[in-house]
Amino acid sequence: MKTPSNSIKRRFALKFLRTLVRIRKSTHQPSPSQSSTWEIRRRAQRIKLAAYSSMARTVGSKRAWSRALTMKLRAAMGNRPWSMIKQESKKMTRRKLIAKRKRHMEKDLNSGVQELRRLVPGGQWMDPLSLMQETAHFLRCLETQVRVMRSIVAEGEGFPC
Amino acid sequence: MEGNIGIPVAMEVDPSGQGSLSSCFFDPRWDNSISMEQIDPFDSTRSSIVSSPVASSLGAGEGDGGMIKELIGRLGVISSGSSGHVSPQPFLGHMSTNNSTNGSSFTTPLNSPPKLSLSTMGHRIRGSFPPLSEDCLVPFATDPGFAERAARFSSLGSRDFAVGLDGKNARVSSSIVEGGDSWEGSSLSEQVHGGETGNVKKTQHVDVSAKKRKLVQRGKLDAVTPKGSEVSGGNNHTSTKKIKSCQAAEKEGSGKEPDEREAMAAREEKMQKHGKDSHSKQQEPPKDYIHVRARRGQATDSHSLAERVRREKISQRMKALQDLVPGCNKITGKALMLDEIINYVQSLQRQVEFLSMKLSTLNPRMDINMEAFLRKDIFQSRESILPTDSSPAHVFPYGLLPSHGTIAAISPVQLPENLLDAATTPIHRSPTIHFPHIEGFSTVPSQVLGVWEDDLQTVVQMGIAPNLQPISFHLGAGSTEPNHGQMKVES
Repeated sequence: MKTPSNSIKRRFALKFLRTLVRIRKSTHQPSPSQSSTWEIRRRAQRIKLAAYSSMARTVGSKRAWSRALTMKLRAAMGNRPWSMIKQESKKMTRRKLIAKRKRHMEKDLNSGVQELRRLVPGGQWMDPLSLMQETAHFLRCLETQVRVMRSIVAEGEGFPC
Repeated sequence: MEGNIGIPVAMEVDPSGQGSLSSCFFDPRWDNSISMEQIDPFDSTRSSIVSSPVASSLGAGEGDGGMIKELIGRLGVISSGSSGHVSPQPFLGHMSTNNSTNGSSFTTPLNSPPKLSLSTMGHRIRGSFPPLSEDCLVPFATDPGFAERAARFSSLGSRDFAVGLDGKNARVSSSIVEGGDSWEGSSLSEQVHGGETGNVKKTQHVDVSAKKRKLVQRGKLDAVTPKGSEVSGGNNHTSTKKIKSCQAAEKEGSGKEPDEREAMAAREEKMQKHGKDSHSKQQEPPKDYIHVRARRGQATDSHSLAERVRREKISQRMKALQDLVPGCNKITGKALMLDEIINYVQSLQRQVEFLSMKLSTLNPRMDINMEAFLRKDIFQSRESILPTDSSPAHVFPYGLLPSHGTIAAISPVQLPENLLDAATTPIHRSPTIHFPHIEGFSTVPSQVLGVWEDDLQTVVQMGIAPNLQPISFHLGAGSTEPNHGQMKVES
């Protein structure tokens, strides 16, 4: 469980910064400072997605949550045709949810576990055991992500707007 | 020497020993407290002393060696310099000196079956149960002088005698394991009250007075024999588990009953842990194996066992998760913990959102600074600028999108592919690292292709700025080095 270690932090920082730079270059050029709120929001959304995706790519496909996240983000970014993804995910959902939900439902922890499933990418298809595992890993990666982003922001705020 | 000194004797088959002749392993203990605790492990292992060489069909597995070591380690005191491994032969020899009979004091009284009793199951439970004070292996003759003599000879002998002297209740439980590989077999445990046996000689007569109890494992009761008639006193329970309930009845002291009960529970747990087909010698379980303890009255069928294992696993992971979430340590209860975890995840996600919002509104100069970031990490920022291509596909290169190599190919300056690899490994931060930001950059969309440094600490700067007047770089706020070298980039 030591995986989200320093190296992951570094790799994530690199990936994220690259994407960030690209995003900012691409979106800043027209009107760097006086962008509308809509523009800012859109950019923020993209940055957020970029952060998640670079985290997922950093972790790789070993983890279920990163796989699910990558899928989701791909869908969100429109890199794959929507219909395809929809169909695929729907099929998966049908099959797995019906099978697994029945089996793994916990009565006492139900609400909490359900909430957790919603939060952890790909959590709907996990049984509680792997859900816990993935949650732990996801949590640590999220912490790393926040830390990196915070340091970037702190760095950036040294500059006057 | 005073007080009850438990003398557990564990006879184990030495894996290295020859098949038919198994070396017996005796662990003598002087210490009262230690002996108390340790009796549990040996509880079932308390072997009847075998007069004849042990039938060694006992499959001495690898586990035995480990177990022996463990036992030794646990035994704080090994008396009289015996290394702990006492081969049966020497032991017998010592005893013979005393008794002048080939059978050791142990062997004779118990008249034990030829089989070597070996039960390994007990050790798991140790510690959790109160000491079974009664378990003294064999109370032998109480002759003090004899005891002393014996003590000199061998640790085992000394122990025995000490016990005898104490006159405490001694219980001898011997489990006899059938020679079968499966280790299944009847185990015979015998209890001898020291008090009663105090004056009893080492002879088998002790046993007569002693109370015996039989442990039947898995319903197999082997009349393997131990002490023929005497065994009859024991209760035989044949059930899926070995039940020792009879012990309590046999015990005289009131205080001993709880102990016995616990012993029973312990055994039951053992049984459950190991399952029906478990090997008794499985003393060292694989690390990842989760042992579920079933208390009395808990269901023991495989389904509920599996369920219990599953719950155990879940709670383990919850604990691991708990460690990750700050402030979650004090919280007890799964539901609350889950809530806390959820809150934490949500807060982190909110922070990500907030931070990305902030990042989006940062000063554009930040871009250059970020490039500096990249350089600071000694990553080559090859794609710091994509000349004109700002399509979303390139902005978010999920796996499908062109790799950096292609991006580099697009860019006018092509960096060697291995540069990145080389850059990742060493972190030598040369004093000439620059964190430039560009003055007046906001007005001029400059394109700074790449700045990197190599081992020679030379800064190579390439810039492509179509309509660019010379841009002066100077160190940004984040620089650690007051190096104000100015670098010019000419188009």
